[in-house]
Amino acid sequence: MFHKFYIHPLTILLILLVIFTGLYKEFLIVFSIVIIHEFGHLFSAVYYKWNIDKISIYPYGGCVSFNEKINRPIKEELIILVMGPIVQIVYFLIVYLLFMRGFIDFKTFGLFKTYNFTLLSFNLMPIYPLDGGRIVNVFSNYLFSYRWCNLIICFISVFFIFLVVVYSYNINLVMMMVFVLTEVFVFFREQGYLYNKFLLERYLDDYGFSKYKIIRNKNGFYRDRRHIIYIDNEYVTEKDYLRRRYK
Amino acid sequence: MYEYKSINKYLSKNKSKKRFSSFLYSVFIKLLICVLIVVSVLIVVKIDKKSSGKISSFLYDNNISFARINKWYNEHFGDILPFGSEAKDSVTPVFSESLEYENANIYKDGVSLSVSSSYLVPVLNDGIVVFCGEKEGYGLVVIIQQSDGVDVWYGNIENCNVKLYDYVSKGEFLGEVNSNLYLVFQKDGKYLDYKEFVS
Repeated sequence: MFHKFYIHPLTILLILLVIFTGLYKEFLIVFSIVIIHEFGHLFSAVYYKWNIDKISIYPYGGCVSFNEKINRPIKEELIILVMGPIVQIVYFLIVYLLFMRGFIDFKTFGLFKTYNFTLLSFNLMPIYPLDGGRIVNVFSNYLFSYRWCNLIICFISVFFIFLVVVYSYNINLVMMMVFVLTEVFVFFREQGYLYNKFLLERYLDDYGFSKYKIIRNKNGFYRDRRHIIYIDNEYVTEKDYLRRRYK
Repeated sequence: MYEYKSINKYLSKNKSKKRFSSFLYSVFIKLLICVLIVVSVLIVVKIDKKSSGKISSFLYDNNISFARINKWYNEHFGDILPFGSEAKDSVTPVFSESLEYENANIYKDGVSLSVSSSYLVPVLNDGIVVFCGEKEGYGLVVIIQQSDGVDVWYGNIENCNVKLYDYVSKGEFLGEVNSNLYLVFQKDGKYLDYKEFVS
């Protein structure tokens, strides 16, 4: 399991800075919050038997990436994404109980409280590789087609990255945002590949989705839906359409 | 359909095995490099007496000026840890701005201030706690490295409220003192006159 952890170079830069500025306690608090948040994702992913690709540790939080089929149920992905923040809140409550019993002094608890709150609010911003952005992306799959959802989250992400860069005077945050922007760009660029993968999975495996959806655009497939497609003045089932496409 | 599944399974199994072995290999190589460095330093220290003195003095007599680097970085680039200044503001209650004492006498390398019994000592200036423990003749000593490069020793403390590597700010509660507070001001190994700092 531990060989799947990947520490990003920005985190190593942060550790170097911490060594030379003596912010040891603060760093340990932040790092413990990040790790426990990631374990929340990890355990729920293991529970649903998702195939984990790697767990990256960034200075402002982690990111679990999966090597998994896109057509897995939306509900599972949502629960995996939400479990991180929930576990972080539970961790806060445990530390709060310890503080009330007198095991932790006021100053440490104050640091812990503010770091927990700020990291949580940062992580829940609607920017794509962060949890908030991914939750927005996955949740919007209930409303829009798969392709649209990905495009929407790309535009929202760029807007929020712009806001963060303008309203913060902090080079670490700006470096992080540059990195996030490249991630958004890569995600935007591989849309064609992702959509093809999405359709190919449907062609190769049988997914017994119960709900039907009639669509007129052949690029407007939804997640968690079976489709009937209206092309050239006739209705075609999804299976037939995919067979025509891949044969 | 069946073939596709089985091939995928086979690939993923093989991949994870390979990954784990390469991970072990990299850990092993890093460990080896660490051991080599430690052994070579030990050999150098054993052979060359002069350099061993230099190394030990470098390790034990110098402090990295944490507070100064942190202040410089904060001024030019912002917080190091995410939202550090917000976290700092929320936990530093100010209770007293200046020292109150009756008279001051020279004591060892610094000054002894006579104060009222069970006097609550405030921190004189922003900095980081780099030492917290007993020193001969001073009792329990807290050394705070300030961001202007001066190390301040607070001696004869009884109930210490700060811990090692805590960042403290001006006016924060440091600890309790009974009738005598020893202060020493030090910069780059030299002792400074207390009158510059204590009015």
